[in-house]
Amino acid sequence: MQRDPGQPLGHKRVLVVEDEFLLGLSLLEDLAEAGADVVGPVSTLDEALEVVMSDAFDLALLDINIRGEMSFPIADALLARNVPLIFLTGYDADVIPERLRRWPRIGKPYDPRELASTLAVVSRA
Amino acid sequence: MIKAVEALVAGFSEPDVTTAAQGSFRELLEALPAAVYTTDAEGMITFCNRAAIDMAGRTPIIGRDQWCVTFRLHDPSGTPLPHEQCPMAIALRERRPVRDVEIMVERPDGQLVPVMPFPTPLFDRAGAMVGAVNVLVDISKLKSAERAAARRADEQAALYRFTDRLYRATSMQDAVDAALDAIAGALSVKRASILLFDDAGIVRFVGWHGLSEGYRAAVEGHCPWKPGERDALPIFIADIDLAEEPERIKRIVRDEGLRSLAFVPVTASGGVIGKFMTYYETAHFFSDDERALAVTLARQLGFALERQRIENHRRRAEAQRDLLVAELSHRVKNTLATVISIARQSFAKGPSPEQALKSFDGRMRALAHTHSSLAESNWDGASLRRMLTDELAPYRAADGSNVEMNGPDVRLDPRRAVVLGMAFHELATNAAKYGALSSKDGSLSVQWSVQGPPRRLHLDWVERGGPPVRRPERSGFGRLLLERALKADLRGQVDLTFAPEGLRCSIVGGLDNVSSNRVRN
Repeated sequence: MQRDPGQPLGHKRVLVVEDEFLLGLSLLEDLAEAGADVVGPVSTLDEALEVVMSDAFDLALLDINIRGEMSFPIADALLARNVPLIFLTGYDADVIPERLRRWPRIGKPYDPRELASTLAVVSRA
Repeated sequence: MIKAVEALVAGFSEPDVTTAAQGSFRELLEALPAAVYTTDAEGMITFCNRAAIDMAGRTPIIGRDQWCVTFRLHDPSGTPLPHEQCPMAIALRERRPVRDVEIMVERPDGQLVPVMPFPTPLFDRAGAMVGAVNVLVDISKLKSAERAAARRADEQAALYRFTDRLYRATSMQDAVDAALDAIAGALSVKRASILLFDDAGIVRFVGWHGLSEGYRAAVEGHCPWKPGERDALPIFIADIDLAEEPERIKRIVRDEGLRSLAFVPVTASGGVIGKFMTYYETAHFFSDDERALAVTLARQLGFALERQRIENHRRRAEAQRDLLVAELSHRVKNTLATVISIARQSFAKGPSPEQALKSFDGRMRALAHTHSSLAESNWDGASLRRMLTDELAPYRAADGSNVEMNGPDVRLDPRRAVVLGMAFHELATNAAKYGALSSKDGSLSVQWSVQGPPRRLHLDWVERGGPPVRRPERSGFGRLLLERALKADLRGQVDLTFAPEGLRCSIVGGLDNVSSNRVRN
């Protein structure tokens, strides 16, 4: 598929799970600017699970800590559906279970350039 | 002592002693406090002094009793020792003195006396054995002193081990276990227990040896002292049958096979925190030593428990501090992320850099307001009314008539406070710029209520009398915040209505934290 170079995520469905509303908002805009069709930001784990079960995605951005709980079950559900993901985190890598460590992490507060380059890598994969 | 006995025996062996001299020698022996008797070469008793009669508890029949003046003999382990195998019989049979032997003399009244005998055969000038002399030394005082010393050594060892274990104890349970072992060791009891008052002031078993579950359930909660009681003294019940206790209690104790008990208060900083108990299956009279030892053990245990309590307190405080530091770091990161987001929103969407800076500045102030009102409550929650009041203060008329607020006092948790604070700021600045608060004829009404459970907030922001409202062409930061972020965050409904007579915003959202327990792998 031909893709606009300014729109590396052209028409891709991207799920954003992030409970910090302003951060979610920024992600939304950055992703929309890259041409993505964004779902979210979803701010609770059970809502996220519902969405993952009922919708199809090309990519997901997942905050590790959603209202005090780890979002790894969502990551597992996404991977079971072959959806690549990027973790958003203020935490160290060692809280991430071994099985999920191969997925890239972006620290908070995130750098938009780092987000763009990570998105490019993951969406090509 | 032994030297004196040897000298005495030597006196008999003196070959030159005349019969007359022997007579006065016997008188001398009679007066001696040591038990002495003599036999002929066959072992027949020929003489026995007063002290020997006192020791034996009987008067031997001269010329008929053989070898011994005593009723019965046993070896130190308690095995009966026939008279023909007694040390005196051996001395005569083997024609040699017998030394370093201990025997138990049984008196006719059944009393046992530990004795060290010194039987020594006597020979005439020609070397013929003419008889023997025996000196019986009562060693019961020595024996009981030895036993007491051994006992004291055991107690000291038990106390030493106790102190050592208490020093290493890292939990209350460690201290309790060490105390139980020490009580068993120092007081030589098989059955013991430790009970401590819980937070509700009820005494509970925390450790025990040899008590049934039924017994523990029946007596738990019973204590002669109240928590914190001062000057509590131990209670020793030598025999439950004779104790002044309710019959019900006596029956429980007897059914457990117990006859005697001790209640020893365990104190910390002078007040009772619990007790330890020792139990005996037979009636037991508590000696002064045992009482003193029990008090020493209880004091040690009290110190150790107090130390553990302080230690626990310190550990909890440390864990809490670590948690706070982690939480603080998390909040700082989130706040920074929020600030960066607001900056990007403000500068990307502002019509001019000056306008953008103004918006950014206002938003930062709103955020700071929410934070300080949260900090004042120790991050417990912020008052909805106070947040609205703060946000609307700059636009209120002097008489306050242009702003009406109505609703119950609602405390918002930090997450909801931050997002609603931002929302109120966007609504207020919009009203001041384009809406009801931009003209002196306009007015604003904010009404809210809480329904549920689960508690849901219903808030209506209604503007009237301002310039005619037009639906904006593109959605700015404020609308994005209200319609997408606030809605998602409150898991509720946010409706913005651009009615010509004034903007309306209706916000509905949950106030209780939803549990995500349904999420499973």
